Parts: sequence; C-alpha cells; structure tokens
Amino acid sequence: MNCERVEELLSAYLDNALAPEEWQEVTAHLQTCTKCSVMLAEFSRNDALISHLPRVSPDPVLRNRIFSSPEFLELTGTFDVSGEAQKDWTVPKLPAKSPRRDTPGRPQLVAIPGGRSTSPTPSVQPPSSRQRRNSGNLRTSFIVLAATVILAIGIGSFLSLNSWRHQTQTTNSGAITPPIGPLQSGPLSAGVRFVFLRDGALWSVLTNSSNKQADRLTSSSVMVAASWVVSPAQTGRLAGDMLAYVDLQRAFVHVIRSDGQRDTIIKQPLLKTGIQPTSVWDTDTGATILNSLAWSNDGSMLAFVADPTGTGQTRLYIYSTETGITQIVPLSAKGSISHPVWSPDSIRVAFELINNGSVSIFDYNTQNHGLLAITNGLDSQAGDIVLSLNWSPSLDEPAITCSEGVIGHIHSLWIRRVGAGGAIEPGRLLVGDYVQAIYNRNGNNRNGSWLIVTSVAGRAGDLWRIDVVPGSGFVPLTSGKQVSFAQWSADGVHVDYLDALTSGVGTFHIVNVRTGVDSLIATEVVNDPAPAWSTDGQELAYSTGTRIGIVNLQAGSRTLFLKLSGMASTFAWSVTLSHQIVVALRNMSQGIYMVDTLHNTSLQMDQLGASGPIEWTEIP
Amino acid sequence: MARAETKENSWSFDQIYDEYKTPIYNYVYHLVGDREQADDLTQDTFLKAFRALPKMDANLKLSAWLYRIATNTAYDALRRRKLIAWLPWQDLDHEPADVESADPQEIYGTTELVRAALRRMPQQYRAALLLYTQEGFSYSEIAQALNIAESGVKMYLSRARQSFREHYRALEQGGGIK
Repeated sequence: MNCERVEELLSAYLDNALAPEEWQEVTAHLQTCTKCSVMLAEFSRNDALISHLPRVSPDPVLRNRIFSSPEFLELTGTFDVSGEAQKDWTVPKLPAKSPRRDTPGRPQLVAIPGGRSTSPTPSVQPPSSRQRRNSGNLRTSFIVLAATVILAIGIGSFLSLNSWRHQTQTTNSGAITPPIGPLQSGPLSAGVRFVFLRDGALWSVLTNSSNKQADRLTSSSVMVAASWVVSPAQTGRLAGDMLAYVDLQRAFVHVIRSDGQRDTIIKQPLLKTGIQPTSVWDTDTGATILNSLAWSNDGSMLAFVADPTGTGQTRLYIYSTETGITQIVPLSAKGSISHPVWSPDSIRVAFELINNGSVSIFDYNTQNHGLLAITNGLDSQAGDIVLSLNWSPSLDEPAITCSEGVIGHIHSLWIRRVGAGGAIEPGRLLVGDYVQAIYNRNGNNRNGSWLIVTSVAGRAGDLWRIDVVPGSGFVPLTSGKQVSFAQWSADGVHVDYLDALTSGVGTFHIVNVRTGVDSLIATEVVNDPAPAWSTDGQELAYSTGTRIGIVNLQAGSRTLFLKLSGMASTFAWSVTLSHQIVVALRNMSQGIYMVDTLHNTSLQMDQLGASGPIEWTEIP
Repeated sequence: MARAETKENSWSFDQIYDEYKTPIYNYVYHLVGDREQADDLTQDTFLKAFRALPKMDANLKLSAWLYRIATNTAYDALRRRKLIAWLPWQDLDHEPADVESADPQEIYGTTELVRAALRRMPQQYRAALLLYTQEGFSYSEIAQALNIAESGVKMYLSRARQSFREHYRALEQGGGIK
C-alpha cells in the first residue's frame, strides 16, 4: 500500500472504521513511513484541538426571546391570549436516557456514619459511546450538577467535617531504639547517597566520595520489606533524608536517617501480639500493611496501616517525626483501610475503606481532625476497588482523584474537591471500560492528568490523556496500538510505552502528551526493568535485555547504547547531575554502576547488585 | 405549559430547549462563527423543530433531527451571507462570557487558529468534523444530521481532516488569520 492510498484511509484508521485487512495494511505501512505517521498524529492532535474548543452557551435572554416570540405563541395557541390553557401534543419518543448502572440489586457504596448524608448520585450523563469519545455532555451535566448543589457545599462541608471532629487518640508516645545498631563506627558521611535493598538490609553509597563501598544502614536483627520509602526532598535539597521500612521479622515500622543514624521503631505493633508475622505477609492484609507507608510532603509525618487486633480490619496511623507520637485516625465504620495518600500541603490524608466489598474514600484532616466521606454517589459495582488514589497538585483547591473498577477493567475516574468550596459529590471524569489508568500530578502543566489505556475486546488498546479538570475531554495519544507499561516522565510532558508486548518484549515509543506526536524509539525493548526517565524529563533509559539504551529528547530522540552492557535490573537517574545514571546489573556482570551518559563511561560502585529500586537521599 | 408527550416521556418544549440549547448553540456558533447570528439560528432551529414535532414519525431520533435542522438553517444563512457580504468572524475580544469550562491551559492563540482553520474549510466538511469531534456523533448520527449516506461520512471526515490540517498548518506557519 502506497502513501497516497494510506492517506485516504488514515481518517478512517483513526476512527477504527477500517476493514481488518485494510487496518493491517495501514498499520504495517505506518511502522515504516514517518510521513504518514506524522499525518496520523496531526489528525489525532487536530481532533483534540477542535474537541477542546471552548463550548459556548446561549445567553439566557435567548430563552425568553424564543418562548415569547410571536411564532412560538402562535404555535402554542397562546398568541395574544394570556392565561389560556396551553395545548398538549403527542410527539415522537424522545431519546430515552440510558439506564443507570446503579440499578436495583447492584451493590452500592454505603454511607458511612459521620460522612455526608446519602445523596442522589450526580446527574452526570449515563455512560455512552459518545461520552467515551467526547465529554461535551458530561461537561454540561457537571455544570448543571454544580449549580444544583453549590448552595449546599459550604454548609455541608462544615457540618460533615464538624460532625466527625474528634480528637485523635494517641496510641503511643515515644519510640524505642533497636537493640542492635548497624553501625559500630559512628555516622556515615553526609552528602548525596543512593540507597538500595539487598538481602533484607538497606545499603547506601555516597556518590561524591572516592570510597565507592556500599555502607549497610540497617541492623542485622531486622529484615527490611521491599516497600521501603524515602521522605520527599525539602526546599533547597536534592532528596529526602529519612527512610521508613517495615521489619518483616517483628512487624514494626522503622524510620532511619539515610546515614544510618536514628533508627527508630514506631511502637505501634503492625500485627496482633502472638501472631506469627510470616503467616500474614502473603495475605491481602499483609500486602495492605506493607504497601501503606506514606510520607507527608514536608517529611514531618508518616502514615501507615496496621491490624493490631488481628481481625483483618486495618486501621490508619500517623507518626510524627517531630514529636515521636503515633495517632490513630478515628473511624467508627468497620472495614479495612488502605492506600493512604497525603495531600500536597501535608495536611490531609486520603484513604480507601473497604467494608463488605463496598468501597469508600475518606479525607482526614490532621489539623482539625475532621473526617470526610467523599465517595457518596460513586457508581460502584461488586468487587470494585480503588486502583489508584491521589491528589490534584493544587494547594489552594485540594481535590482527590481516583480510578475505580477491577484490575484490567477500570470503569470510572472521579474527582472531588475538598476543603472550603469543595464539592458535595465527586464528579466523574470518565466512564467506560479501560485496561489501565495512570495518574501524574505534573501532567497538564502541573494541574494533574490521567493516562488511560483503552480496551479493545478486553485487551490493551490505545493511550488517551484526560486532565483532572471536570468536563475535560480525553485526548487520544496513540492510534492502533496495544499499549503496555505506559508511564509518565517526571515533568508530565512525555509518556513512554511498549506496543504489542509479547513475552516481556515490545516496541518502544515516546509520546509528547502536549502535541500528541508519537515517536517510535526502538523495537525489542524489555518491560523489566521498566524504562526510567531522568528527573528533568529529557533522557530515558531502557533495556533490550542485553544492552542499555539512553534516549536524549534534545538530540532528536536518538538512542545511545552504553558501553556498559548486561542484563539491567534497575535504573536510577542522578539527582545531582544530569547525564548521570545508576545502573544495577544482574547475572554475569552483576553490580551497581554509575554511568556518565555524555561520555559513555561507567564506574563500578558495588559488586553485588540490588534488589528492587534504587532511591536517592541527601544528608545536609 | 406546552408539552410533548409519549407513553414513556412527557417533555415540555422548555425541557427540549434546556436539554439541547447548549449543544445546538455551540454547534451553530462554530458553524457560522458569529454569536449574534448563532442566536438567530438557534431560535430558528428550535421554532422550526417545535412546529414540526407533532407531525414527526414516532421513531424520530430527536438529537440528530435537531442537528439536521440546525445544519440546514446554518447552511441557508451562510449562503445568504455569501450573497450579501463577507462577515468576519467575531473577534475573540467579544468572546461570550459564558464560555463553558474553557481549558485553563488552552493557549489563546491556539483557539484562535483552530477557529480560523475551521472557518476556511468547506462548510459541509466543517459540519462533519464538528459533529464528530465536538459533539461526539457516530458515523450513523452524522449521516442523519447531515442527510447524507453513512458511507459518505467516512469520505467527509477524511476530506475534513485533510482540509483542516492544510489550513491549520498554513496558519501555524504564519499564514495569518484573515
């Protein structure tokens, strides 16, 4: 098929309106023809531009103009006859509203005592193919909804918050120091260190030192779980300085400074006394606890969940690094808590509560101890869970956004503003059936944005973007692809993904989410380790299984293959120098290497490698 | 209140207007590019619809039918406009105040370019592209709204996208907005 023929078919290709044979021929042509690929990307972008034109509404006076026009009055038989009964007509059936998904018999989200009173579900349009492609109706409905509830917002928020205003209970005051310190020779040198997990212990390497030996941070008496976390970087710093981890052997959370000092056990037990921790970690409750560690953005608080009663009903705790006090978040409703996520201002924690299969989301204010149920009206189905929960980046107008459904079948994206002027009901950003939804606060110029992987006959399809602004339409980013392992660049400008993944190997693409230009980078790229973006969003490392490629967006997205080769296990771009990346290799050339991508040189930092991610820390 | 009733639904003309006023107005506005004219055309569209509704078949698809009336009404107006004079699109300075949820990131210039590129397209392609992208219509719904065969929609959209691309590119590359 030549370009001329493909150009005729590109529009229908974009709309998935081609016969299978034509679709295959066009797809094959696009793999090799840049000109046609660019045209397709432009079509896609142009559609998005038109769909995003501001929608305009008529002036309210137009209604009066129409309904008081002589034509209308004549039509209704009321022309010049005030007070006369108006005529009725029988006219064709108007478009029926699609049935709501919350039909009788379907499980609903329960109203949690103390949360807002149960309200009717928002009057957003029911799901339709039209809405999946265009959010115009949803946008309109959202505004109608907003108008109907706006008066209730202020009073409702106040009452809801205050009805739950309880002083949190202090469960522990103080923490204890582990009996065996890991470091017998005093603190490690300050500076920028990368930290990794190996053999159940945390290790760190100082990068600006001639001594390239990894230092062990944690005691031999603890077994560190894989889900350890580093506190966020504070103003003027390149990285955080505190680590939090779960000791798998004794089931306690620890916090420790990244130079190995101040290893502190948070006294709140994660499990009931007498229960063997190893019997819990492989269960759902165990996974919930292990994956719950969450630092507040200012690094002053750590949220985690625990099941100290052994009932499987996890509770949420907040530990203060300043006071050493742990508080439990009061919640009278039963269920299991998971997914604590801090708001950008470090004041609120959003979390999920699952009770008898029903999903709720709460917002806990650590300053006034108000607790707000935010999910009234979520269109939940049996077995639904919140797959991703996060906050908009706005400090002034905090909003919670989440994806809902089951793994591989996300049916809704929601957003709800909280705090002063917040909404009484969550607004639905998107409805349908999607394979995956990935959120990034930096997307859409740091206003927050979701990536959506569409579902084609139950399998991964194309990639869309939808911004966290009620009424936003989606923006198609790819066409005719089977997208896997999509991920945002740190700056929210680009997305990388693997197309047509088979046995862990796929075709590697980068999309500019602003322009919609989708660039083919390489074929036969592996999904493990996942490609890694540099902190400035300009470079990307990936593995072919045996070789490591570095893509530089400023150099025309060309790949530089590193001289250092082998089977990579993880990448971690430097926080101090661009063009510097830490690469862990496994198998034959096992070790951790610092690589200079400008000069294509590498320096071995450790000979044993790492399991899991490598994170950066900085001790001032 | 004048009502339009079926066995299952009882809608007043008010309700029909309230349900469709914004999509119809938005569509007409983007077809003709002039707010004042969009007012007139929206009024004409609804009055024509109200007048004809009682005579319509029970299987009528109201939405597509309203768009069909709106399209024909706008085409007539554009034809008349050609005969009289060329009216420039309204300056963005006079953008209506009630623009719904405009994307805060939308670059002012981009919106202007998109509208200008639409203006330069043949009207039937502009209508098809607006119905598809802005209103989210399916091929079948576009066929009904534009009174063309469904097989023709594919061709309309293909030419519409080509046309928009050409004009938008030219504008982007400094062709200016006339």
